Amino acid sequence: MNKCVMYYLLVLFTLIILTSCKYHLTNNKNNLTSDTLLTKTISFPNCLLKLNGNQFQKTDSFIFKTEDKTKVISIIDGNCPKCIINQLNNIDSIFNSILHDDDLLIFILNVSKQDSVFFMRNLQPSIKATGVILWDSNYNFERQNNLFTPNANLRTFMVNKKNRIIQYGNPVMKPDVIFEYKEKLKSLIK
Amino acid sequence: MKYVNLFVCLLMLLMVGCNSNNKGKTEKFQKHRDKIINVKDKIVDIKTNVLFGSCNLNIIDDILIVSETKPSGDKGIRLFNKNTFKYITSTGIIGKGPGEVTRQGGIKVDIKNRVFWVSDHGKMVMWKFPLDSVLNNEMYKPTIYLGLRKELFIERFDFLNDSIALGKAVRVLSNSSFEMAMAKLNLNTNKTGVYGYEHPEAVGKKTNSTFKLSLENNIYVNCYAFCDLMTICDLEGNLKYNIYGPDKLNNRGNKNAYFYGIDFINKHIIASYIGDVDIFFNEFKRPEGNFPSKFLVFDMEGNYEETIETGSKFTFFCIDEDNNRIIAYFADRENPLGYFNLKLN
Repeated sequence: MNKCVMYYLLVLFTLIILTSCKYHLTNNKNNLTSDTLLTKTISFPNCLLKLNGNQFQKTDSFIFKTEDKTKVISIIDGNCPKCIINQLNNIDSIFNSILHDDDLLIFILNVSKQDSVFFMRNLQPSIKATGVILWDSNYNFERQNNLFTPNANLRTFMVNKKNRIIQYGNPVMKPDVIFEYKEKLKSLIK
Repeated sequence: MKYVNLFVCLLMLLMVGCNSNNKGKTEKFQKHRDKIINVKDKIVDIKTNVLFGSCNLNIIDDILIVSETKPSGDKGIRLFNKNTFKYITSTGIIGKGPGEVTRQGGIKVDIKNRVFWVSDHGKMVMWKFPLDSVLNNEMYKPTIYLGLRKELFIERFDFLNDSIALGKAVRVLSNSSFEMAMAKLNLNTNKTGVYGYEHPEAVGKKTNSTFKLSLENNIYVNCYAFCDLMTICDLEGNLKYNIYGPDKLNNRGNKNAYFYGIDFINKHIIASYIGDVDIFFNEFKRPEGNFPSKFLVFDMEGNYEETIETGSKFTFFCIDEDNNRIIAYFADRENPLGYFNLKLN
């Protein structure tokens, strides 16, 4: 009788362990976040400025040009050399290898007003990216689109012609995600 | 027999007691630092005609030297009259040419010789700026420098005499990591060597500390950034006291930050203190470094006296001993530069 009770207890215990393991897996934070991100439609605030070399231009005509185009958008914090060299430049070179001529690569560069002189003097010369850089001095893009997140992986995403987010993930942080972008681009052509 | 056992027990207790008493001479534990004086309403804004960002503050004679951590103008160092806060001149021309500062780092003052030294992490040198030259020539470019391109280079220091500086040096471990060590620099030979006591358990990132030397009191003090610890040593490098705060060395993963800066006034040690998380997420969900909002005041033996709560986060500070006040650069006030008067016993 005792052995029987012990056997049932062991089975019950194993079941509890297995269930708790499964519970942990389904509560993956990324899955929850991806659902909310993939429903979003983004827009560009008018107060952004286009950084062309060391000159600033208004963005009205550029934003008009972006309509009806697939775009990869990456939000970069311009407060350290690593942000420019490891993020902006690397993301640019990775996406340039998969994007088509018609697609756009846009960087939203967050630089506060008080850091702007330091940035232009010390960090701007390190920019080697060919993508379009939109200067944001007060997190306007993220504020307007409700995109604030502590997870830097969610600050790079692709939007379709209707500006709806269809893929997200930073290929510098998660290299495999680039294949998913590739697949999404293929499916858009079809 | 009963009395023999009792006697042995008492003897053992006495021996243990004596032993802990010996240790107690150097090891001081402060569980509560709760004598708080609020000076939030007593901070006076300093309005200057010159704009500058976050900065280091130092005083030589009547001159307040403000050196920006990220210079935004053509020059990185501004000089003001410390009594009136009237702007005097600027120096430290930013650039890559001879005598120009490429990437401005820390600044250290030699009060006795009216000289200040400025680290240039672009050229990896430390420039010598004689105060009189700076005051007489607004386009002054230093010519004398010490090379910093070494495995161990001194970063936070004070002058023991004309040729020797003591302080905390950076030991480069790799492209992205370093640790700090107590060191002695000979300014004549530019040789840096390890010097004096280091807490044996403060290793790796926990070696990061701010340093201040007092010739008058024959001591130097290290306040640790990632340990709730302050060490007081004599000028020969021998330990006098280890002062432990409530968290002692229990900072797992170095997630908390403690001391930020240190200075002396009369017979008091004043240290800026965080005692909270090192990094937090701000309103834009970005990681941001924490800053202190309070000063801990100790006597010269490290005994806690009081806490001065400013109610605002500040980065750097200096003590104006003549006017008996603390001048600080506040990170969250509309007018960042301000001061308040000290009322210490």
